[in-house]
Amino acid sequence: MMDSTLLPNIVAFLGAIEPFNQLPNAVLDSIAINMEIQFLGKGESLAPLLTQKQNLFIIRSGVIEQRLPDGSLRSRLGEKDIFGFSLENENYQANALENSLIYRFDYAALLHCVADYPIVTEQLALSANRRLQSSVNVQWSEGEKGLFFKSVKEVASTRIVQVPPSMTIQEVARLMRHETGCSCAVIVDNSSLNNTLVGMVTDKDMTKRVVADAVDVTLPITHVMTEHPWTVGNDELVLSAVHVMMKHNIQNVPVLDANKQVVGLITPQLLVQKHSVQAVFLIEKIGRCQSLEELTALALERQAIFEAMAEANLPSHLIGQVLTMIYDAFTQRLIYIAEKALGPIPCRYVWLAAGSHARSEIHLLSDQDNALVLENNATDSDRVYFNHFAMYVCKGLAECGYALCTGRFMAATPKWCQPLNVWLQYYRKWANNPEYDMLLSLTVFLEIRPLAGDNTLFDILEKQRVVQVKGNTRLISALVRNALQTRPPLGIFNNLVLEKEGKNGKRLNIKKAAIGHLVDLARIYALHDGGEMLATEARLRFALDHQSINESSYQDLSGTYQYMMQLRYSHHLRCLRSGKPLSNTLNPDHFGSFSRQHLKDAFRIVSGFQDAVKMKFGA
Amino acid sequence: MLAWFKSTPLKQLEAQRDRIATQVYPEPLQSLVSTPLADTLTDARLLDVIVLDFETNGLNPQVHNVLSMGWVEITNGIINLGSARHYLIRSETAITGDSAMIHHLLPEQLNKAGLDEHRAFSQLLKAMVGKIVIAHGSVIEKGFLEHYINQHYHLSSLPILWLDTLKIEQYRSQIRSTKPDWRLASVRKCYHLPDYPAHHALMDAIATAELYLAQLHGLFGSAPAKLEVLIKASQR
Repeated sequence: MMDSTLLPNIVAFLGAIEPFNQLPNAVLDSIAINMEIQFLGKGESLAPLLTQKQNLFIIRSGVIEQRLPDGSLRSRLGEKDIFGFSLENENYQANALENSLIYRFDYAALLHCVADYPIVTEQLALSANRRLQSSVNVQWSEGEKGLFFKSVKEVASTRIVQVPPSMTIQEVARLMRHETGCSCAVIVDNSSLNNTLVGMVTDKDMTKRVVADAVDVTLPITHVMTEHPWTVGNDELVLSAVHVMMKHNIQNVPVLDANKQVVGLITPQLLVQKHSVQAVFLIEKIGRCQSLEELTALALERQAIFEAMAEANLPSHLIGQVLTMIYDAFTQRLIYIAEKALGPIPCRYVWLAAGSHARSEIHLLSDQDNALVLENNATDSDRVYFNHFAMYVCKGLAECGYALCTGRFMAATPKWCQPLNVWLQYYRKWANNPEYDMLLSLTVFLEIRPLAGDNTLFDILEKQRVVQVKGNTRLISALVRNALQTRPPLGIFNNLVLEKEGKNGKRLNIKKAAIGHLVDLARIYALHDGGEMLATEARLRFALDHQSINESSYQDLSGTYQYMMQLRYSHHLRCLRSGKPLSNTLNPDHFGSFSRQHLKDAFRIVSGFQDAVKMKFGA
Repeated sequence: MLAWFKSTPLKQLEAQRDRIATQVYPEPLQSLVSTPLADTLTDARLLDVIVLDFETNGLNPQVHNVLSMGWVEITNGIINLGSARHYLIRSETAITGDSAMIHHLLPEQLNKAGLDEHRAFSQLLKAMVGKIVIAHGSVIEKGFLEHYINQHYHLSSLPILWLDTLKIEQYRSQIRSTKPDWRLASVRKCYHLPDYPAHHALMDAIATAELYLAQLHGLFGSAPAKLEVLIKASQR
């Protein structure tokens, strides 16, 4: 007869590691008795597996490095780190840098043990991309407060098209067209007294099941509907609706009342809109401010909105967009107030947002990137006026929480407050002579967006920018060279690549380590293929559509980008909550083993992408 | 030295085996003593190993009892937890307060959950067939096991190969600087092996197995681990 816990110390060790910490001891026990322990002396390698079996390894003690077949470093792993051998797509060698004790699991047996715990199964996925994706999803579903704990009826849309099963496909499509903002119809059996929900169609179904297959549109809708769609109850939490969406990978969830009658619909857009209401109110308030004092008072509200969004774990690009809208509003209102303070505008101008502000990738630590373009016949005194004007706006923005740019890429710097002709020359010079010191200016101003003033000035400048950049191979290869100058850290947490930060000890700068790289590389792809979109995710999508990258690279890169952005937002939220100053640097000691694993996955993906860019553009 | 080595421990074992070869013992003892011993020139890493640990209420097999036993097997240099066993042993003799303190095993616990001594030892003997036997400070395990064999099968000693990680460490310490603390946890620390809670028979068996693998690396690096060296070290 055996003890209830056969292997107490091993169960205790596993129970302290993500994702095993989500499992009860009985399951950990069954995992432990299927485990094997291996000792790797310093300098020894994990023997290549001869069987078709896949294994997962956890480092109990010691340090392991992984190297790719060409000898380059894949990652460096320490205690509690998890790694796996997947024979199909991960071909690397694992070497012990120190004497290491390794726990080995048969992957199939392990998955069998955790079969009842889908979240754990997802997190134990062997592919880096799936792991990143699951961590984004998990964080989203674990939102602690805010929207997710409201009841479904508080946020559900009541505008919903209800049709009988006999209605033709075409009639249903027409009804859907009339009901604006509604992308789906529910089919309700009205022949029975209790009006039961029998099916659902979405506008996507109309495309994929009707148009694509040339289905006769006079057939009843029942031919193409989804039978017995997933539903949520009126009184359930929004969290469960989101859970249903993610679990079944669906967009629209009908809401039923206690009598099983359809009363509404939950859509992802809806969840986002409800959150944006706050932001819309703020933007409206900003638009009514008459003084700098009134504006600066609203800076705290911006922070509150950020907290609400980050807490609800909204997708990172949405947080970025909302923060950008607020930033735009602050800038535009400051321009209005500056005009009032300095007297009427003497000549035509356009105020440009540049860099991350132009890309709509704003976070709470974003500093200012902006510029002023004046009409060509601006006089000296006009220029003096605009110098004061720019100073006023930039200082005002700083008081509203948008830090002055350390690189001085601001309209308040005379160099970046110039007539159109000078700006046209700038672009010509950068494009023809993309030397290193020019490159930084160029990358900032490769992304521009007009915020106030005369858009015709912007249109001329934008045209010149596109002409100079399009098909400019010298420029592309200069950008590639620049982008490859630094590599993401593959050996973090052995103090190899962390920055010293005063008394805080070693820190990881996530902007430098990964976000910046992804932004740079996505820009290169978009410019190369003539894409004029600015946002990094849109650029990656564009590269996929132009077959510059394949589907799996796209999934890897956009997944990594989202993960890093989310990491930054949640780090900022933590800073705010603990009353600490915001920073982009993270203390690696605060990472759990799985976050570290995700980071390493992310850095590896970025590094692989850099290699791909190098190959493709031959820098 | 090699001549001495060949003449002493292994020769004795072989001679003893020859003496009892005419007798037939009940299983699993018969299999255990009739399975040939490993060649001393083999790479120890290729041999099947069983690592065991007993928790007892004293050091004298004549008067004291085994309270619990745990073991785990090593195959091809890998510790297989699927082979891990841990048995509490039912005993008529009361456990003295002191040993209960050390092992956290209370008499009630043992009598309720415990296994009959004979069944536990039979399971162990079965698991030992064809394997090298390892313990840390094997004199205890060897003493209690041979006492049991003597009682039940009237065989004075068990002709099998024992390795002892404590002795191996003492042998190693002649190469390195001397370290006077030979307890399992302390020795493991020298190899940077993790802290495990002590005095749980199975945990100690696993801890010993890990230590053994670390010692193999320390002694032989990536060269073949000569069994004769390990036997010699364990005999000292």
